[in-house]
Amino acid sequence: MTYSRPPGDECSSYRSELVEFALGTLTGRDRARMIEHLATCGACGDEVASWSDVGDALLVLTPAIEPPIGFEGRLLERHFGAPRTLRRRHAWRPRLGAALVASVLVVLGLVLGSDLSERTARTSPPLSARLTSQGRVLGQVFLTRGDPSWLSMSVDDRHWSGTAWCSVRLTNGRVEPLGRFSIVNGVGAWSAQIQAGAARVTSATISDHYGDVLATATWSS
Amino acid sequence: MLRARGDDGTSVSDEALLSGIAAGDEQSALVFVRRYQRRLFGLAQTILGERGLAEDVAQEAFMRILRHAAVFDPRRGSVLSWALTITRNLAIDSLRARRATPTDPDSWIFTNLISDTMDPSDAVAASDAYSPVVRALALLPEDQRRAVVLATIYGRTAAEIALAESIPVGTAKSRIRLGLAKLRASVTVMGPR
Ligand SMILES: [Zn+2]
Repeated sequence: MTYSRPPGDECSSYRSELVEFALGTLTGRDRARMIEHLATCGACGDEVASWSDVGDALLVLTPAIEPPIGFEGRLLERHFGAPRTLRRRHAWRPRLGAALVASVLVVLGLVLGSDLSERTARTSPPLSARLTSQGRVLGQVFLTRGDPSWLSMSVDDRHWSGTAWCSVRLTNGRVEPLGRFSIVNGVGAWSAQIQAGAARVTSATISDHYGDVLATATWSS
Repeated sequence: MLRARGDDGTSVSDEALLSGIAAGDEQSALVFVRRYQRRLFGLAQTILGERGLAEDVAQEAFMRILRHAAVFDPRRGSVLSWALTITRNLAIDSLRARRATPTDPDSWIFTNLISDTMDPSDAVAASDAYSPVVRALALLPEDQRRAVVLATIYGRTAAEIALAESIPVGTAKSRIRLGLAKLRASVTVMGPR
């Protein structure tokens, strides 16, 4: 359970860095320290949000400029022509609104599950596990059993951005890489097939560029 | 072949377009891109100062937005702010990767937001919708205005601003903070929060 509380004595040591954190210009250890503090401090979180709003108001002031001719064509071709991991040949087309990441993934899990049931006439509810880092919940992972099996993951942690690599550990201890995905403004969602089958997965891990583990989800067997 | 079907989608909300994009609808994507390509390209061009790089960054920003349309969370702010923030972060990454300096004194930002001749009445006339922020920005002492714009739009750290302006880091930090505090006061008074 999380709740806001008034700023305490420990907050004063973070006060001077809240602005820079909100603007994304705080780096290294200071940034890591701040993320840790914000995980438990609603008052400083509110402060960060209000500084971010001011930054946003300034970004909106920048001028609109006509892009080079063909910009939209190149973009849409790139997007719709590219291989898509979340959509298969006979695409499922759920209407996903601007909803919470968790609910998107529940929908995703159910859709994949129902799709599989048509083919295998055998369906079981997706196995969900929390994606955590040092006790903090950063997202949700679903395993959908079937042939093929699917793993779907969402990350919702506003302090992250960049590329993450995902792998699963199997019951025989082997680690199988699944691929990489982008976390934009702290949010990322994706899914991938698991060749070895969902039943053999004991945990899923995301790592950064350097191989450092960012978060793990574990299924009790 | 992608074509607009009749209407230009002006009446469709950003959120509805993102839902359509998440469901794989090309028409929603086209309307969305047409709505925001000038804004995203404009920001990238403002920060990078070069059209080729700006196109790369704006394209990449749209790719990420299209891919992650399903997980946009309206509680985090408007779709435009989200899209601009993604673009800004990519542009800053691109600058840092090339160790380039964004401080082109001919750029729009310098002429319109940082320049020491910025006139509050001009600024307000130029941008009615955001006049409280523009007015507050125009009223800042020039050194604070520079620090605020370099930090918010160009993503410069206090240490980098200190180096560029030949001032101590503590001074750079306080310029950013003081300047931004005055802007926040203007937004808070005028805004819906
Ligand atoms: Zn605090």
